[in-house]
Amino acid sequence: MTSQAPERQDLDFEVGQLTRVEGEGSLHLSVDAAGSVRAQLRIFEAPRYFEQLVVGRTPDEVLDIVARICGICPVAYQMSGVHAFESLFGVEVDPGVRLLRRLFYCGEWIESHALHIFLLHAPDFLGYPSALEMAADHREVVERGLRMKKLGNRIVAMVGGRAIHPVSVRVGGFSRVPRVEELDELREPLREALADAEATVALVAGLDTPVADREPRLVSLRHPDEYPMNDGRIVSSDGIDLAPGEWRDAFHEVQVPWSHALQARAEDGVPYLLGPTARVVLAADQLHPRARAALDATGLTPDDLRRNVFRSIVSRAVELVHALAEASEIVAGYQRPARPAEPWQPREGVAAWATEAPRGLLFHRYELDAEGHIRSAQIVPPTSQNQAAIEHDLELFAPSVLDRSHEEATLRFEQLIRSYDPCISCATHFLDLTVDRDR
Amino acid sequence: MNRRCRILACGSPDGGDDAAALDALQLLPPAVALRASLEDVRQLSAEQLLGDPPGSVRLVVDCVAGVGPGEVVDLPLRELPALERRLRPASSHALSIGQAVALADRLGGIGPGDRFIGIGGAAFGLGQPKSPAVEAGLPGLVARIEGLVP
Repeated sequence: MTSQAPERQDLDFEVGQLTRVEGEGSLHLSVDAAGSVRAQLRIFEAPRYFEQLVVGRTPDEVLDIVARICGICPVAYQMSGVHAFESLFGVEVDPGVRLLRRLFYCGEWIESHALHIFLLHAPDFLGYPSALEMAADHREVVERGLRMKKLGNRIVAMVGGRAIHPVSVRVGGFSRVPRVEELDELREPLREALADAEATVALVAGLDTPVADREPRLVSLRHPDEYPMNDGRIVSSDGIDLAPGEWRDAFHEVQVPWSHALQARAEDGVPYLLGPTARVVLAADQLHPRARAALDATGLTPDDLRRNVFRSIVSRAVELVHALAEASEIVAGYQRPARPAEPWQPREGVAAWATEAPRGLLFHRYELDAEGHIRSAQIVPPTSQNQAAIEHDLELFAPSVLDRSHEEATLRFEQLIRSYDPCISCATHFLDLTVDRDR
Repeated sequence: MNRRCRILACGSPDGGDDAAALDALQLLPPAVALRASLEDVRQLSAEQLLGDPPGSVRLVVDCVAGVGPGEVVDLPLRELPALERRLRPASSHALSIGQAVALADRLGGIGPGDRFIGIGGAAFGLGQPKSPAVEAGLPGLVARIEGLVP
């Protein structure tokens, strides 16, 4: 008697609608009879035309407009824009303003990372369809996340005038800077949150994590003296080294038929990974000592985080510790700048810069006329750049779950997509998956 | 002065009718600001509903789809998650307003006096003006909010 292996069949996986998201998208994944996998992250949200909306506007108007691109990471859009303009105009900001901008960014990282870790990603690992169900059994965990998120929003509001779409960022500084007494109110909440964040690193490092292994090309800013946020050079794990305004020297955008969002590629066409894991690996030596200690205590190394996409939740938690620790130090040493903003004069030319949004490198480039009005704009968000890496990782990972139930395959595909914390799928816990198996 | 009442306005100033709640905040009579805290929250989060003293009243205001344009509805905030499928909030966010309320409720953050006040919208496009129906409905929305402030 002989046994025959079952004949391999073509498989099509359709995740039709990524709902409750900052944007609209779906996943199409196909496997042919030879076992070759092709994944397409289909972003079908209508284009928002922000690059056209800013044409003809002044730099300070641009900063208010680009803040509207995202409700979760508006600071990133303002920071990339303001640094681009200041670079062109030759503005040197007050050191106190520079520190306030780092505090501002810390606030955004804290609220964004806390949202993702506790409300969007942890339910995948703990076996719940959403944070709502998770709260019934893990109330303290959810409350901890909400406390940190609230604190992050409070920091953004204190520096930026309001938590969503801040209004105080101006070329040269801020329209207003907080008083010492205002920031002092953050000291105790930051101290408490830092302990919460350290416990979070231990918690997420201990979660049951799917097995995955890959060697992504990593890209982030790197600065010799600080963890990358507003300054540094664009570096990669394979030797790219550029000034923050030179992104186009090594990368370019491409349009693919299945997405309304432009994708980005390195010049050799290979996808690359942005975000917390890229930063933790490429700037490991600049992590705050408490963040590094929290990671070391887990027994995981930066390389462990790099190789398994599902470990991004650990990278995000490590950065939560970093942002809270750095925010604490900035608040403790805060001296109100003598003046909130430096004067500046417009000039004709190209203003370009990249900063580190919670999800990764965010590049802005503007062409300005002699009066400082925008002639053209290019904004390259991290989710756009990560799309190709998401698809690549899905293709690598898919074979390991093709023999599982639809429900489990769905969960794993969603969990992988959420590992990137994409803006278009901030809450992809509510997918409908249909599977067609060609026979 | 009763500052234990909070009016939380949600929506987007750039989203056509989705700006209705934010506009209503500006149109409330000054005396209301003495009786309540007016908050431009844009995107409601669960944590914004946690930590208030017992007996606090929160009025969450947003523009919704699912009722006639300009029509004003109000209901106990606790009932919003179940009705969310019908009264769709216009903005897509990480957690919808209904999910945020449900999560806050699960954590004991919603009281019997908390209410949701919605105005039906018709035009939610980026940069669009508000629809005539919503413009016409704004006084009614403002009156409904004012009437619910203790």
